[in-house]
Amino acid sequence: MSFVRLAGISKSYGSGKHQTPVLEGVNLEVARGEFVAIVGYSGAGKTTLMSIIAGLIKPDSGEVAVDGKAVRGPSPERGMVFQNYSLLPWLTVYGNIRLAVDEVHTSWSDAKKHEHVNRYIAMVNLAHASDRRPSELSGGMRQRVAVARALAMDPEILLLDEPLSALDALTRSVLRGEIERIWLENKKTVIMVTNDVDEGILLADRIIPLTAPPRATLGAAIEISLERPRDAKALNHDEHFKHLRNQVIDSLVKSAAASRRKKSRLVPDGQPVLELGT
Amino acid sequence: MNKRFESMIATLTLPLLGIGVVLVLWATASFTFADNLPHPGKTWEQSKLYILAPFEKRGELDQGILRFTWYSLLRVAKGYSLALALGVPIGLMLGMSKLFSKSFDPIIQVLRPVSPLAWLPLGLVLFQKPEPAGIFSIAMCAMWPTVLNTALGVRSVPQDYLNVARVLQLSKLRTLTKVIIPAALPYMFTGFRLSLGIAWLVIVAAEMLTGAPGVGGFLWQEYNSLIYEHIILCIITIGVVGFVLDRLMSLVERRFKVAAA
Repeated sequence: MSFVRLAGISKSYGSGKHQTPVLEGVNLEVARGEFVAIVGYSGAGKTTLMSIIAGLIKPDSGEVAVDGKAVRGPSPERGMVFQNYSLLPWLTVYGNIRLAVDEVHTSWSDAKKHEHVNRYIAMVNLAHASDRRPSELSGGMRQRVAVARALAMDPEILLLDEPLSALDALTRSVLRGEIERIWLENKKTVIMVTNDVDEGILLADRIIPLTAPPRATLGAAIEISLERPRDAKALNHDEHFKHLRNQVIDSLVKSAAASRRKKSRLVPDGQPVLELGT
Repeated sequence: MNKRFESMIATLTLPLLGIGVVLVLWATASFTFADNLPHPGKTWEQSKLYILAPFEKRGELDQGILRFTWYSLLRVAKGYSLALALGVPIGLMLGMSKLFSKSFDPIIQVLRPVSPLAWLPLGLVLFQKPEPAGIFSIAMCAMWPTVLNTALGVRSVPQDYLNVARVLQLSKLRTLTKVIIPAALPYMFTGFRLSLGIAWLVIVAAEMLTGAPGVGGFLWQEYNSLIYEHIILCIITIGVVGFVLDRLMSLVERRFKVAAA
């Protein structure tokens, strides 16, 4: 039985004449411990889909179930890393993570909480910046704090909403490596949405294209059986990797062509991965 | 280096020049058409005693100017505290509850422009004593900027922060103390600063009407005793104190803005 199950999820915004259907008939099954990447166009409804899984917004129809139980609202069991990090600016790195730990592990002693927070700060290599506020951190560091905060809640599922999209290319590849390493250590179930095909291929066990808007839905899944840890530099010349990339991009382009809207669309980022040993 | 020195001279001398121009205009007016307006020299002559022995107490309404200022500040502190104690919770509720906002926003818009001179008699009716009546009118006039800015601050809390609170399943109270209030603080401090300005404006009116010892009370008494020099002394004192209060509050406000940025 699948661990996370989305059945017939539909969502539109607005009402009456101005109603815009965003998602229609989204079905998804994710196994425990699996890393699934959903790749789609900007504006296709990726963040909407993530918010529905997180329980932050309710779908118009359909149901999300985790471990057989229907999702009724947000919960620390589904740790969300928001697209824009959502760190509280008046708290330090430590304070942001501590707040989450305080709320989730209420029965723990102060010493245990303290140690737990510091462990996750160390995991994302930010021990030196523990007392800084978000405004004193670079984008990549903020992103790491957000990941550490989500992980420190010890969630059953980690939801990553375009976790790397706001970063420069160099930081991206470094953080991508860190996300893979952390996932290999923890083996949490991860659902990630992204508009970067390569990022999806490099991180996920399975890539699922989200078709072009409006009325986006999930296309056929593509299994990624590349060995881990995955080396972006080596894979860039790998025939199998290139084949997978073309497969995902083809699927997205076809869905765009099928979409009735005639507006021209940008193909998701299909650039070769940066030639960096990370 | 030379440029910096020049700009330093300018920041020091230009305000003095401005003061000089106003003094000349004042003197000209008093020597020409405004016969009853005491000229600057005479004002200084008559006020010297109050300025040079600022804390001297010679009688109930004959005290050093800083002693009067102190009385007024104490009264303002009481009224201002009451204004914040009322204004912050009202502002929080306005910001958080649509129902509360829809119910009370019209009343607030109507009460907001009411002058302190109108509240004071009502305070006298309610409390039967001038002192609480004055504090009541300060609070009634000064709380609105705090109410409105607190409400604005709460409404401007980014949805992202609230989503964090929801994912963490923070209770309503914890969401308020851990997320909403810290996020709204910079707005709230803008409200606090504006409220303090109003509280200081109102004190003069309140003291004039109640005759309580303080800068405003002194001003009104000296008008009745025809010592016009002291009216000017009071006006200058009120202005300087108001300016200093505003500077102090904006220092505090800036600290919070930096902390929250």
